[in-house]
Amino acid sequence: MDDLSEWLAAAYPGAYRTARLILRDPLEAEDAVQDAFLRAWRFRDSAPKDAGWQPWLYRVVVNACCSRLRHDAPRRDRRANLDGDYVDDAPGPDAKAVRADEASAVVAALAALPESLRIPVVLRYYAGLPEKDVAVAIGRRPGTVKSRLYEARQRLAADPRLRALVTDEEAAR
Amino acid sequence: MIDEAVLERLLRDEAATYEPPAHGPDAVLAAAAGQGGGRRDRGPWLAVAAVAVLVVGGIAVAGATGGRSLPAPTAGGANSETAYDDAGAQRDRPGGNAGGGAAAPVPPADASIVRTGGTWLVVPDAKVSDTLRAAARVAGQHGGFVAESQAQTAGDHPSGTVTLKVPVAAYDRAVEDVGRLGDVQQSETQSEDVSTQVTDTAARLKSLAATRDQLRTLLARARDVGDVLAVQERMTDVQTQIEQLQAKQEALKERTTYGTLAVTVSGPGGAQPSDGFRGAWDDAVDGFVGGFEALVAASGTVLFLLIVGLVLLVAGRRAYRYWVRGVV
Repeated sequence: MDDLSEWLAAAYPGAYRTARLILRDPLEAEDAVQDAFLRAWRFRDSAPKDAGWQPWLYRVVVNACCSRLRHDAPRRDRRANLDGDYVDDAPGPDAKAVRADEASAVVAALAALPESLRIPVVLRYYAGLPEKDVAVAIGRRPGTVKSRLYEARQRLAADPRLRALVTDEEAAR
Repeated sequence: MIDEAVLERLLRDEAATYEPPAHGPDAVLAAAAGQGGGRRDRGPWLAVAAVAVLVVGGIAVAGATGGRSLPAPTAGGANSETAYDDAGAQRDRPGGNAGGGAAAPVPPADASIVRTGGTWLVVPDAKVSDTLRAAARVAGQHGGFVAESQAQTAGDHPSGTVTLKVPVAAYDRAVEDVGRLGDVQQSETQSEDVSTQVTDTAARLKSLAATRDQLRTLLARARDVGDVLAVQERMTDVQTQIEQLQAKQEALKERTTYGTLAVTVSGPGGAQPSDGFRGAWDDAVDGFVGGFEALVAASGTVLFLLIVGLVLLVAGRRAYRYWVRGVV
């Protein structure tokens, strides 16, 4: 991974979408990913070789997102609320629209989670990292990742926007 | 509980609708070159080269590089070399000062530099207030102003701080003038080159404005209510992004117009007032180290008592056995 352009071609889209799911804002996501790649590139000598570089890069991306989240939390909260209102619209008539509505409802519900839960969810279920790699990316132990994912799924299930998605045995209770 | 597979599917569906910006990787390449091949020495020269690449890369930034001379980029990596061929071509233009040797590069006149710094002056106790006033006057002499000032002139250790906003072009002269007002204990200044950010923001604004115009045309043609709503929604999104970028541009303009210089003045006996974060951090470190030391010190006593107790116990048992045997 010595060639930055090759690296970008391979990892940019995934990193951008991950950042976008965490931050929601396209410009912020773009800036965060740019910061992350620059940082990763600057410290490429200390990047783990082979399979280890991917969780390492995600860690850099997550850190870049977190620093943006901390810098302008107030504005983001306002935006998240606005987006939340929008999601309450009635679902569209065809199956594709319903599915798209479900997807945006998940994202809106995800935005309501604290970042300590939201980030593991995005890394595990969107980026598809195994739990041990998520642990590397967020700098926590695998056990912590497991419990956070569990808590996040529970909280998502309790979100009214996602009622339709809750599995039957839970809904029956 | 939300099913993991459902969550996975929906997140991927949603993420698939997020189109990564086409210019994103180019912007990273340009900025990486701006850091000097990925190392820390980010020079204004290379930011200029980065601007050239942005232009070549298809993002039109009108007039951004007009009349600038470009030095040889020292970007490492084969890809960077090829990416900079065009910058190299501009470098060879007559009038360029390429290959300036070991001389420190002078930032181009239109580079966007953010200047920040602080000076700590020590003067006789009686002169603290006068020096603070003199420091405030320095801002005015260079076309700047005082952003903030606070002073404690009563008591044994008078001290105060004035935060000056000075036009960037006059910043170094202002620092020198302030330095003449007393005995400089500490002085630091930082420069941050935000040229890439400035041109990046301008380029993005331009492309978003173009998108908005296209959307307007689309809106005029839309017949179906669904289409109208979809276009309007997209336009709102674009408009929000434009407004955010304009705010960012304004903030950058403000930061690159005026440099910030914090002047702290104290009497000979006063300690340097630590700034907010550093102070808090130092306190935290001190507290931790202090607590740890106390723990180590306490553990020494505990260990000593344990050893003494153990020795007494062993000695006591032996003495008891001896005594018992002696009795029997």
